[in-house]
Amino acid sequence: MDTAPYLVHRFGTSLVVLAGVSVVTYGLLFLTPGDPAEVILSQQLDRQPSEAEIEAFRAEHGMDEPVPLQYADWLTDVLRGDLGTSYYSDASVTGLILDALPLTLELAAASVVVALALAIPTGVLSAVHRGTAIDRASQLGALVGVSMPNFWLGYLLILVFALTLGVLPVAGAGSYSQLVLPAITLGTGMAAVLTRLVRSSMLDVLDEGYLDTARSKGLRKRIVVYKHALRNALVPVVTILGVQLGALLNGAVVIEIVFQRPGLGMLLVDAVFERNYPVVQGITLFTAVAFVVTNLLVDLSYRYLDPRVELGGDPA
Amino acid sequence: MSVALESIASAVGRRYRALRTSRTLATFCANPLNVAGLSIVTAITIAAVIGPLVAPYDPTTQDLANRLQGPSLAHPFGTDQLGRDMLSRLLYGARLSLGIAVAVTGIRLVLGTAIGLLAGYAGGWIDEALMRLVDIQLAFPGLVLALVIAGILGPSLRNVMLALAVVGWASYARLVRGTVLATKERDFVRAARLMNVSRFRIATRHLLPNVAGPVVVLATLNMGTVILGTAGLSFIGLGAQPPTPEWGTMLADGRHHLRTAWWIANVPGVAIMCTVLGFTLLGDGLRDVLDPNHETTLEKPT
Amino acid sequence: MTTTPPTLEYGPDDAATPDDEATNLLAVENLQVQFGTHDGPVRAVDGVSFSLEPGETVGIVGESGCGKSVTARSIVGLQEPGEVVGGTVHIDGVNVHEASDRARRQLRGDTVSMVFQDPDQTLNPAFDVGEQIAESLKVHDQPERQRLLDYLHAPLFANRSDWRDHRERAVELMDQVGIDEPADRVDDYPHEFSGGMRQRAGLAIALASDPDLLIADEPTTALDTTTQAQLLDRLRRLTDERNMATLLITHDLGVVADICDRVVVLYAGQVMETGPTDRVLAAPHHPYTRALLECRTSRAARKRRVPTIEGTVPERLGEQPGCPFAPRCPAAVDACREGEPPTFERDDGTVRCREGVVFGEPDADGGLGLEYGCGETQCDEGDSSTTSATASTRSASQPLRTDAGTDSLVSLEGVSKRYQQAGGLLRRLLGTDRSLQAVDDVTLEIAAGETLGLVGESGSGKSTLANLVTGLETPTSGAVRFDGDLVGAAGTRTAATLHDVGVVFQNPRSSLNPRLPVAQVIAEPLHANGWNEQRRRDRVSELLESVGLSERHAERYPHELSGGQLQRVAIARAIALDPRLVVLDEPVSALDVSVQARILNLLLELQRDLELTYLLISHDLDVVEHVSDRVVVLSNGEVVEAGPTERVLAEPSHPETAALVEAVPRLEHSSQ
Repeated sequence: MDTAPYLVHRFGTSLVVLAGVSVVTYGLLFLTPGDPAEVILSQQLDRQPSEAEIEAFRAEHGMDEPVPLQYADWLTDVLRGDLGTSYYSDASVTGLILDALPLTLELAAASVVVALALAIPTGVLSAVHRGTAIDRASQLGALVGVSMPNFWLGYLLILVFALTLGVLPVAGAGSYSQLVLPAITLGTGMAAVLTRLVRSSMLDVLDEGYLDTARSKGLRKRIVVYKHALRNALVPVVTILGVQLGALLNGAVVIEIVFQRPGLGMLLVDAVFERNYPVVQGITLFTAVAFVVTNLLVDLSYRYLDPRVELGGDPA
Repeated sequence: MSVALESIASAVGRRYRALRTSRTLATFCANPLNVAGLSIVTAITIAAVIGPLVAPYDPTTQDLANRLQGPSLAHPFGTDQLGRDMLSRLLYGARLSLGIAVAVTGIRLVLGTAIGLLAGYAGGWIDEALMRLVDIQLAFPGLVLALVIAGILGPSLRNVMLALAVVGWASYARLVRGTVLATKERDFVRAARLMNVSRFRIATRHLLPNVAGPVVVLATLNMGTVILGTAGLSFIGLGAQPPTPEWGTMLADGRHHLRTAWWIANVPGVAIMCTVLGFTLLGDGLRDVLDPNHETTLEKPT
Repeated sequence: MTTTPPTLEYGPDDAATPDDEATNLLAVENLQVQFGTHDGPVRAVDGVSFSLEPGETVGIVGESGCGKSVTARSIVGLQEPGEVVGGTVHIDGVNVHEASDRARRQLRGDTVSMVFQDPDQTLNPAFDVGEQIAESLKVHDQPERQRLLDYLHAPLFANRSDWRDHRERAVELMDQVGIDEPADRVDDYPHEFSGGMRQRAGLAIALASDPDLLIADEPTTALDTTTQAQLLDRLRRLTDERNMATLLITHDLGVVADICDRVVVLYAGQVMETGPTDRVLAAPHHPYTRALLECRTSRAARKRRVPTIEGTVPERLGEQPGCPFAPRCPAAVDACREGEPPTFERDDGTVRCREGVVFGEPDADGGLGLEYGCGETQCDEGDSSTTSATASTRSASQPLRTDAGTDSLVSLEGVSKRYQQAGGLLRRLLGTDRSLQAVDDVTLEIAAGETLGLVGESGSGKSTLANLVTGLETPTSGAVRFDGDLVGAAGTRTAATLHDVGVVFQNPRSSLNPRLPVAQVIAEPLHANGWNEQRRRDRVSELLESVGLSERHAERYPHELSGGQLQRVAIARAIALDPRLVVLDEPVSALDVSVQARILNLLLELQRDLELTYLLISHDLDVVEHVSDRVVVLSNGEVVEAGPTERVLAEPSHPETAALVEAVPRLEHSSQ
């Protein structure tokens, strides 16, 4: 199977999915119990708005048009990069997102580094020393990590490192010292999931016949494990990294609240409570698009990781 | 009559022997972690069922004179900032957390399995359309979408439940469809088709039993993630509203008293962790037994 | 193809005397390997001793599960998860299991190499073939300088020119093992190679260290016969050129006859017999060796019962006194079951059997006056059933042949099948679909009562053709007629037509639903046909009896039965509704040799008793030759030859048929 038709197919389905995502995102507005305009206005004004005020609000935000037309207008703006204006500050939503994004990206990147640095060595050691104390300890650690609510872990870390030992700041953003605790909180949770995956993937690979071939060549154990086995074991790990980006965004929301970091997550939670719909829609759409694009990239990178994968090919 | 009885007796005998002779039970019990998982889940279930009967105090009655008391004989887990007994709140919370988890997982399972079966069995454009729907659902990071839905619907436990149910069915659909497609091509299903066995009978006797294993595993692991999700949304403030004794809300209450009253945040934290740990261990154990091909994958929503 | 008789002097194989170690390249002494299981340790290798001298080729034979592979893997120290609990292995005087990691690496990089069985598993899918061969060369050159970063090709740390040199030598090796255009293929990944090519690459990796001893563990078992013949030929040439000693593990006596100087017969982890190949195959001394030889279908007259070995290889759990073969041995006496059998040393080998004292020369027809399995019931568990007992007594004297009718039951008229390669809507719109011609304009007839054998290499369209007959697939063009009526997909056939065709698939484990007990599996077609419970139950007992299973099996689940028993269940299901045609898609190829013979006997009996017509698909010409009246040879989806079995296989007129026939390894080469 050639790569080109596969790419076209893959991009095609991604477009379909993105179109669906935009419909869902826009449709969220209509989940509001009652009349959206009235609900929003009463929250903004902190009193029951008059009929005239509601009419004016509708006209201002194009809510008096038929729904498909509203959606079309919104989508046209979105495609131009205009996600609308915040109900409260007249700031552009795109601008708000771009301002908050670096803090979230910084957190995500640091967490991934923490997660990989913990998960790969632990998972490999655990698998190679299967059934030993090392294995049991790391499995138990990973299980606890998977089961721990990350906001609780955040508070525990704050309690120990900030409040008791006083070596790191409690909350806030901007300096590297303020990044340490959030990145550890989010990164260890992800590491727990990845460790389990690396371990089981490694165990599968360690049973493969080609490792016998490698051993029978007279290769050192270290090369057998870290060259022949790990390379194959990492394929499913990278696959799951794409999915884990979703988990990372989910986690970032909560972690940003815990550590009071004004990133995307905090922006979203504030907007949800204020019913600031343009901001809510903007961030929802943005994260979904980022998620879809990342997974597309992960899919495309398969070929380089696992030469067996014929992109889009059917196993004959 | 006697024939019917006989056949029932033989069926029971068969099941019993299958259970006894099969390696299933032995495999499950061989790993102490599996047994630990089963024990934790059983214990939490019992706590959820009889908790309110044995709880020493009312979970919402305030006793400001005894606020922020540390663990003692009267209050084994201490009291919170309003003097409410933490143990009683924890026991009531177990019922809440478990109930929501069961409800959400149930909705996801039924919805997802139905869609997956339909897509896998019907194929063609129905499959294509349903799978795009699945793709769209999976395109949103689960908790982010649940947060937005719950927020727009308005903060309440019921809305959190709805939101979590709506964002989780797709993985079941994908799993079921994949298993159905794989099973459909296996020789015993092909053989059944050649023997004039009806489509309905093929679906119920050959496909469903083979799909059930992975789905049960996914659902068990899902119980843990739903509990985490509920707690997370409540922690943010979208779920249970005061004075409901929900574990996530309780933990959020404790954040202002981290230094002075560590138990307020940590007691529900440990409770959540143990419950999730129990379901994870049980799910792992069931996977070894029911889903040796590891078709279910583990994800973490919060 | 002739094997020169061995000219070397063979000393007694009991290599316990220490002075042997000095001269032997490989000395295995009383090796014992155990595996821990739920039920306690299983003794997979139980006191095996033999030795190899430089340059000689020795075969280890036995049924699956007898400890061949474990023995081979233990020799290079790859016995894990098994554990060596006794005995020693010396290679070049070095004790493999007591050597340091470093010394063992040295041995592997220098003296001993191994080729493995499964072509899908030998090569690492993540690296190109050249890299994997080059690595082996590099280890051989610098066994002590193995730096991880160098092997990972990390920039600055890797010695690039060194790797380039090794890669060039890898190309030479690929050429030597018979990979065409090696310079182009060196960058290919394993998945781009065919099974045979991968085994060749595996051989190249093994040869890269220029070993003195090559251990080949069933290197050709997973390959089709043509490829197998080529690879064996290549192996023989290379070992001769390099004067390499070879230890070949195989279950195929034909392969042994082809290339081995000496044979070690293994059973239940113990050495039963050793000796020069010619002598062992022509005049076996041990009852087990004789039984193994007897149950080859090629030795039995066409359409007659094949002699079989009763029972299966036992799992050796705990202490079991006596000869392990005694329960299956027709010549066993009480003493065999109670005491350890003695090992007799003859001038050309050893025999571990009480019978050794009374060895005589074989009588005229090659038997030793003992009958194996004939006239016995054939169930794995030794259950008796009257039908098969009477059938087999008759079988000894008369062929189980039914007169082939002249009416055609099935006819294919210009049938073709093309596959559209699956693709999404978009790809369909883009017109990038490609199609694959699986069956191309096939016309053939199957007469009522006959057995038509369908042979061809894998990928020749055999199975697709079978699916077209059963209705699992529909032809792209052409017509399939059953009893004169046009038939289409299974879903569109009438109930009557569906009843008339039974199917037995290759792998009984996948063709039976693991979640249903046997009785329900067999009753499924009856249920689908609306039979009531009482009738179903009666019919199931009847069917169980006719396939040689007892009522006890009815309530069992598939995982509780052996492969042979499962295939009986599948056959019972196929004949449940009294079909006229049974399509047998490789019905015995997933089974052990001794079990194969019993299933073939059953099929022949059923055909005679129920007047069945068979369409038999097989890649095993011995099986086809034994069972079929007529043979059709397929190649690339086309019929290249068709005719009576004797004629086609004896005087093939098409080169494809000739190649298939030629490729079958046969004992007769050496005994002639």
